[in-house]
Amino acid sequence: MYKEKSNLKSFQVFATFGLIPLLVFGIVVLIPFFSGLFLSLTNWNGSLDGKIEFIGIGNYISAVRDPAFWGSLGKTFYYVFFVMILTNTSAFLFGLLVTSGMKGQNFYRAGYFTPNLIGGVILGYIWQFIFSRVFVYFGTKTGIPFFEISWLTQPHAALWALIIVGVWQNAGYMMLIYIAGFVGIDKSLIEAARMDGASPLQMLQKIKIPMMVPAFTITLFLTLRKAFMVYDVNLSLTKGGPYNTTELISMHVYNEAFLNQNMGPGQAKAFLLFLLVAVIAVAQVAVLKKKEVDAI
Amino acid sequence: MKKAISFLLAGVMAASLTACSGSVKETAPAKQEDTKAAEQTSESKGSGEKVEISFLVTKPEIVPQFEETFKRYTESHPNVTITAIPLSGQTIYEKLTSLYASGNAPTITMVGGPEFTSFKDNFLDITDTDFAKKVYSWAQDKTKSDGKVLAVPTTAEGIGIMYNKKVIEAATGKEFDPTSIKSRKDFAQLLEEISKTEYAPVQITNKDWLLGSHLTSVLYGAVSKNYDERQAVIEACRKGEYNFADSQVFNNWMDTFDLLMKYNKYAKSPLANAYEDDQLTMASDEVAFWPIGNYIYPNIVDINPDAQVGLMPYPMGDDEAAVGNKEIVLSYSMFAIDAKQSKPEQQAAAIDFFNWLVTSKDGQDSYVNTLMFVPIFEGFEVQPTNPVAKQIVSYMEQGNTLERMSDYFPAGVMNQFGATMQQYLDGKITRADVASQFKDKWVEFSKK
Repeated sequence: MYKEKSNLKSFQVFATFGLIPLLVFGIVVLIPFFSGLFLSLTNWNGSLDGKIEFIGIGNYISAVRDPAFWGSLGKTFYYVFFVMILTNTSAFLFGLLVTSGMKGQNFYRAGYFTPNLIGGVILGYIWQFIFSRVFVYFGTKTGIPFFEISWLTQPHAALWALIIVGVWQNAGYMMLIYIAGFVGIDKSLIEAARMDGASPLQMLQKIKIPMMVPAFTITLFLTLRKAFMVYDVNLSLTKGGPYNTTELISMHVYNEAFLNQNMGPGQAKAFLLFLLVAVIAVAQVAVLKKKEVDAI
Repeated sequence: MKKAISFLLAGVMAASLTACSGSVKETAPAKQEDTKAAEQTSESKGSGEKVEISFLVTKPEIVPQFEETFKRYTESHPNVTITAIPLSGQTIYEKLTSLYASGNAPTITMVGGPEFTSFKDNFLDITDTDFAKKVYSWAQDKTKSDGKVLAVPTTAEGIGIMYNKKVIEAATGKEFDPTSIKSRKDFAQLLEEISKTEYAPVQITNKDWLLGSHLTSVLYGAVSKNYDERQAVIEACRKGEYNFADSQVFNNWMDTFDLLMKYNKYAKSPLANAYEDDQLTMASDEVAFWPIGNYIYPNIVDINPDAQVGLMPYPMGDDEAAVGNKEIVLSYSMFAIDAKQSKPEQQAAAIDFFNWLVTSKDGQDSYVNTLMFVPIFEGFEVQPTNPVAKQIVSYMEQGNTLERMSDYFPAGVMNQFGATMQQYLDGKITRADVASQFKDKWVEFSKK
């Protein structure tokens, strides 16, 4: 790993590059993570003077016994599933579109990416306006019942409103990764395929997609993680409403800890969420890594 | 490599540990301070030592008014500087938790009932201060713990039904006097009359804090005029022993809610109207009645300076004698002084600030005219001039008030009650469901 001979020398090299990032990582990630894990095993209630007693897995038991936790988790899975599928399909198509050599493709590239530059909270408020004002106005003027009543006041429609905004926000970013994937394919492969008389569809299916598996690995991982952890849009668009039916898991964990003031169970739920996302993400990356091909 | 990392980690851990123990040592002596020590130093304040105190203002809309008040105080007390800490979008509980955890507890805090219960161990005993003795005796129960006064009320806020005099008079052609509505029957008649005109009789705001905390306070406040009996009901609710479905008060409360729903301007899509719109319709004389509190009055006159609105009770029965028919819910948050992390001279300055605010002429003027507060203190020479505040003062003077019972709710349950009422408002559940959900949520959230 190091060319340097002595331990001291190699430590110096490591320190030059890695010490500060490691320190920051330790302070903002590792220490909070482990202290959180520790607190989830105690009866800590958020106050500083309260005695902290070790109570084992009691918080985890009350967390998994809470039906609201499973309800929220179920909705989150629904949300994640559709956000992941729709974001990646649209991002892939956008990527394909803006690398096809069409006129003004750079403009579209910038356009698709812009939503990602808007912060989630602001995005939520913008879409709240669209769903509860613009749609309703449109609905009442045209008489289409689908738009007449604000989506945000109907449980299922409100969840779909969240999905739409999630896709709209993330598709542009994922598109960039797909573009990198498309551009990174060796020209000679495309040329060879064209010589052999492959149709554009065949080229996409047999060459482009297999060569782009690394891009899929990244985008699927990113969308998965982002969708599971969504909070800002959830807060500003629906705030969990109508009547707590769109309370996704991050919001549920936060509310449990800070609104209901159950720090222990809240922390336990947060850790369960971490485990869940970690397992799913690792499994997804492992499966896709196997599919990656090295053509050259 | 691995060794290097583990060595580093150990170092970081050790550093953080020593940092913690250091801060504990620093705060430990402050804990033993009590009011006496604080008051002793207050006598020596003439020495002109600079004191800086912080003030957590939990009403974001009046932070500038608070700052103006602080400035006025500093003019006559140049050695004291008061800084406002705004809530910046967090809840009081979140903000206080983080401020206390980081060792930056504000010298003065504004808290609601639930936060008072959570944080009262941190508050200074102010039983023997001048300003605390001025609090109306009926308002003291909530500010005490183990017989010690730990806080004082901020301002009286009324919750009930806001009426728009202009609209009602235009619709009925008669002069409107809120005291003429003595029961739900009278109210229903008037609503029916208004519904035949172009005006909307009622609008219901669908926010969970209104439905789950403000309006449910009417319900639990009207169960009895007696403090202990009300507490007994709360205790029964916690144990799941209170039978909502058979409770006369609950059914009366729901009957009125049904009545409001029947004449609701947004009956078709009751969850769609935004709170901001409700303020506009009320201010622009489109709707006659609106269940809400007087805290919205400044916004109404801001939109329409000529608005003629007032506050009347949420009717609780067809029988005129029913508790709640002439009472509004009286709500107040509280000021408390930190006892744990503030220095004695800061505590003394805080006490002096409140003495100034409540007993001096300048202070009272700031209290009533700058902060627009309605005093829950005896002997105020300066009295509020805005009509709704005057109404609240008269409700208080006649003793026609209900206690703000949501202060005794377990944390978080108010959002659940709000969600239940939203579903009911939306026509998704029946009255029996409301009763059983209330019962279940009480037990579920009391256990935690």
